[in-house]
Amino acid sequence: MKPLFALALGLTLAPFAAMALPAVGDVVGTTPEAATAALEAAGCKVASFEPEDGQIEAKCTDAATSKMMEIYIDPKTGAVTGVKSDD
Amino acid sequence: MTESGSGLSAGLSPKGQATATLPRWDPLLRLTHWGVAGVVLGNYALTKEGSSVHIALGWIGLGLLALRLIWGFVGPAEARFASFSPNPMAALRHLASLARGQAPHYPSHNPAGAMMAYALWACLAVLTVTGILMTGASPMKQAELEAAVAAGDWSAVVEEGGDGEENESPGGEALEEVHEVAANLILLLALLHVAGVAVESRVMRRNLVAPMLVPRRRRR
Repeated sequence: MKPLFALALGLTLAPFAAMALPAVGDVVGTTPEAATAALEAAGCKVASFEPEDGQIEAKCTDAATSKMMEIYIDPKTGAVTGVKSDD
Repeated sequence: MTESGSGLSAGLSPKGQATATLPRWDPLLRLTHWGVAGVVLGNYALTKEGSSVHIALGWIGLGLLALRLIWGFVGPAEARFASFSPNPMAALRHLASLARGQAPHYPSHNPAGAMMAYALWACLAVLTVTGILMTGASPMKQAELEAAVAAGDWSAVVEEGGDGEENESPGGEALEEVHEVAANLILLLALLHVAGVAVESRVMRRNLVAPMLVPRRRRR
């Protein structure tokens, strides 16, 4: 039973495992609309954008872990400059 | 140095004397006390780190600290530093006498309370100065940026600039670390302070909170 259960669990979670969070260097866009779409496609649903130290901080929920994440975006280039867990 | 480190003589009473006087805290001292308490708790529990409100409260905290430090030189006797010099040994003796149920009264901070006050001020100084050094924008500028980003306009942030890398500079990292440690430490000290007030008020049956809340003449 146990291997079967593990297989079922693995298959259930497989779609989530395929979604990786944005990585540093990924370009997600220089507008809230573009970044919201790009982050959501990467598995992180955006709740808000805020300015922080010359960067845009996107707060989003990681679909795989349900954890709130902070994604830092350079507003000039649209590139991700940092990914942090909001704890 | 005397046990109280006190420049005051009136109001000091023998150990355990029930009729001794409680400190008379003046309005400015009470304002700075509760103001700092509000700023620290507000920035811990309510505001978002780096937000305009967080920055503004930090500046208010620094202002209140500066006011209290000036008051330590020019204020009434019980508010002056000369009335409660830092004396760790006297603080320990005070705690020991409190454990025996014989803690004396002081017209200003008792020696343990004095050590706590200096520790809290040192912590607040580190907290506010590191906060200001970390902040790239004034509270007003930060509020403008927040409003622009909330409205979907990122161009203001591009113009404002920044280091381009989130927390990459070693100096910035160190400041943030020190700020966080000082923030946790000041909360721990505040808890100890409240516990100390509660214990002494209960053990010695003296209400140490009332003098910090209302002027003496309004109290019974």
